[in-house]
Amino acid sequence: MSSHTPYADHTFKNITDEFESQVSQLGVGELVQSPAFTLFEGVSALEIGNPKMDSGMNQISLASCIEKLPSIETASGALWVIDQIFCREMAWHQGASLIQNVLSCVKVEQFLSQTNGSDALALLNSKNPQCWDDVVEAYIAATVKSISIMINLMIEGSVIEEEDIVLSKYDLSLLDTIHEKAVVELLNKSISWIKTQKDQNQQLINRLEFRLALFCILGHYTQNYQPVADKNQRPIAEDVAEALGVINASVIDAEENMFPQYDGTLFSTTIQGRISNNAPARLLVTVSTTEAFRLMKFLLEDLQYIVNVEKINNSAGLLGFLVKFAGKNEQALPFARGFLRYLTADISSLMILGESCTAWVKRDLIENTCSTPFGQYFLQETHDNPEVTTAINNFIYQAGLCYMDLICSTTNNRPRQHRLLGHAIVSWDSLQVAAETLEADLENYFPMDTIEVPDNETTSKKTSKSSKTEPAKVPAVPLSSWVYLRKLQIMIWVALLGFELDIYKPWEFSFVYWYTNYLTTIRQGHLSRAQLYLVQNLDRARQLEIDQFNNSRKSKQNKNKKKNNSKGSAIKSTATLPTTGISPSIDPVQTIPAMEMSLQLIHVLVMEADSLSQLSEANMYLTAAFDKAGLFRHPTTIGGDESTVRELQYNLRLKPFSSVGVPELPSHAEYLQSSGFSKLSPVELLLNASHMARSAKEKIEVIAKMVAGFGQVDDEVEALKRSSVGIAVSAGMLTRAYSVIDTDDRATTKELEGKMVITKGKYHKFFPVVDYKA
Amino acid sequence: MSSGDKDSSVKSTPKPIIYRPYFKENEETELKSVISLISSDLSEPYSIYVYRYFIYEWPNLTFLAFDEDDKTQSDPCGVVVCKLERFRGCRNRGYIAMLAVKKSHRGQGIAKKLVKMAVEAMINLNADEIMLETEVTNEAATHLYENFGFLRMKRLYRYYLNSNDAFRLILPVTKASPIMSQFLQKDPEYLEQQQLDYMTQQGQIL
Repeated sequence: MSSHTPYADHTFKNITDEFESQVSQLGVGELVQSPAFTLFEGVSALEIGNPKMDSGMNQISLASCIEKLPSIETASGALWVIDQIFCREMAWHQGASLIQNVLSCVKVEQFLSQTNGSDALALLNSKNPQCWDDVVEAYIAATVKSISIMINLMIEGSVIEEEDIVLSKYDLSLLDTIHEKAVVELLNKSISWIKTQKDQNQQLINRLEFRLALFCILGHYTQNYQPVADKNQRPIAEDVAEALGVINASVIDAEENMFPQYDGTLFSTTIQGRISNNAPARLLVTVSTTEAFRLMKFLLEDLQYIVNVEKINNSAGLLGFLVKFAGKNEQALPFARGFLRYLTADISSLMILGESCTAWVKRDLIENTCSTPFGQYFLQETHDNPEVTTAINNFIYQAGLCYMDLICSTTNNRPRQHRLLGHAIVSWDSLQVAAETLEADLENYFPMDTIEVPDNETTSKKTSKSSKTEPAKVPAVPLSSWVYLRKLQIMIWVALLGFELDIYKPWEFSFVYWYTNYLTTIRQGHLSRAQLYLVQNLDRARQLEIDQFNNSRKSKQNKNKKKNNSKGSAIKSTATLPTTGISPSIDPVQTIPAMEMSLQLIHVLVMEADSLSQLSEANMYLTAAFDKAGLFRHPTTIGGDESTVRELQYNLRLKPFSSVGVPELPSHAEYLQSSGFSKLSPVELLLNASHMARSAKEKIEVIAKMVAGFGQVDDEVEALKRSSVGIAVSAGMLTRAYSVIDTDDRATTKELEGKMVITKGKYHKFFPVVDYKA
Repeated sequence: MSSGDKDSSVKSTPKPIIYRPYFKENEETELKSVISLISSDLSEPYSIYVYRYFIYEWPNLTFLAFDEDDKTQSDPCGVVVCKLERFRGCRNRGYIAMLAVKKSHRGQGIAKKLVKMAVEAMINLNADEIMLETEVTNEAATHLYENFGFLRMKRLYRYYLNSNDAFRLILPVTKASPIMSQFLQKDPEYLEQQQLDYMTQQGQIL
């Protein structure tokens, strides 16, 4: 029972005389301030008497608003009012505050004035629908209660207040302490009553059944109610499907009909002056009926996708799922993102899908670079030396926090994701330092794993042709290698998200793509290194498996009855293999499946990095050509000479990457030198763009075929393919424009007089295409 | 803060316009005219205290434009309101809070001139960078600033009351601007020099 009484009679003390007396002591332009309240604090103050700020200026009593409301005489009238409230509810989901939509309904406020400050449960239980007004009231109770639950879920799901949605309830209790069951009973009573009427309006029943279906979904969150007894154990996916079924049926019959008798009386801004409200006066906000149902359908479809997250049990799958949702659904409603976050990650207990973030980070390590016997030994819970155990566990804890942040960032809105990933670069860079330090320290305790570098990389170091020494070995460093790969991936996302968010101007495109290509090339090289490490370990383990099999067969042939010594022989064989650091407690043969999985993953990542690298390079050359052709407008320089200003702009643009130790951000001078743009003519740049785009397309097609092999069409891959085609076509168009003005001279540096147009919609958001219009 | 300026290109022969800083001594009339001009133009409702905060604290960073015919200079046709302060204890950050030009006076380059005056004033006061926010949909204002070399650094989701996103733009002025605060904060020599410059400059103003 709520004891809060926002509608109680307030008594105010009149301070006018005292105020005027104090004010008369001030001169013109003189201000009162104290250290605790300066002009800065005053910025958030409301200005009393300013109609744009003071929502209490035209206060009207709720009673007088209720008086003007006509009663609802028909089923269609009730349906219209319910749909209008639903439209406001969806406007709230889109970001407007409750006082601008749902709470602005006089009937909603009337209902809340009864339930706030009284025994709401007793009141609800006493309700027994006998008229259409009562049916609307039951719908209002359900709407209010579900909003209350959704607000709690979104707070728990770390939805950003004010930025994504306004979560304020303005000190009102939205049936907060009332069990859903009471509301569901009222809905059921209403449905029963409608069925006794001549006008058994099915549309109206649909609306009430939708609220029931929504409570089934929300019941998985509140965990204290399953509205229908036989659905107690029903999976959430089925509840979402049922709600979607009802809403789909409602979309068909939703009509934009009007009931003029309610015009101007059902919704009012006057609530803003009656309740606890420190916001400036705000306009009413709604959406059309069609749009409201479309939005709810969209929300439920997102939920239908989101609930699949609970089935995921590997890190690559989880990150892929989250990144795909984030990329596809930049318009996802805050409740969907909050729900995903709620299902996925609990930051207070550092849990991801019911397991600790450290368990997940270990999983991620094993899936990538630590599936080898050495890697798995490394990640064991305990080691013989307690210092080693502590050092490794500390690292895993730090890595778990970084991993948790990465997971959580994906459920935010796209601009915030960009910012959070920018911050993540710094924390992953620190993690890399920690990994390198740990791996260096552990060398004191046991031999570290190595990678055998192919001969051609070490030939120059050989002093004699005849020397048949073992191949050179370099430290494998699987931990820092894993951090490096993840860090580079985040850096690439940050760089490319800027294109999606429209942050870069065209004149910046070439150097941002140049930097992206720099990162993707490094990542590609490092993935190849990881691939080599895995292949070498896998070969050894497979050889060992064959040896074990042969030994076992020999044993049988010798009729040796000691059948259980195969493990012992494995360890013996391990000792003779050209590898280091393997603990006897890890049987290399047992790691084969994990290493095979890792290799598959790394293989896909190599192909992805390869195509991204070439696509970045293609767009880098294309946009550099447009720039050289004089088609991009550069800003004027203020506060310095041009080269200094350009260097400042380069450094400011790449500031999120400036803190990274490895790979170090190339200086502006290094960029100018290594990009080579100054030495190439526009036509030469376009030839490069065209070549790289075609090559990228071939590689993307391989990925597309691989995805199609699993019976899927990946929208992201298709969009990448369109970008590669678009870049090649654009390069061709601009080349033709040059051939018109200068048929034979490939080295011409003449500027063109046409204009450029950036096309985004049909291409991948990370690779918009610049087109030339003559 | 937002910009209500729609003036990015010079469309007609400019009328004679007089530009000058805000006169603090004429506070009573001057402030009213600034509020009147800005509040008719901006999407955000600002209270009197917002204007007080900026103009009372940094009167030297508010610039006004008047018609030459407006002999009493009581009815500005354009205004820019800014501030300059230490940011995270390691750099001087200028901020363009408001920019407005009367509809009747747009297309004459008034906004461009006002921004130039404000930027130069802040540079003279040792600003390391100058920042502002503008609505993503306000292309004219975004282009105006970008032509001065401002870069879009962040997109701010649903930043304004009308639910529109904003771009945060920054004009880098010194080498301190592209360096992360956490690194600047660790450079004692730089900090000492900055503090000295800032204090000297503040002393000159006061």
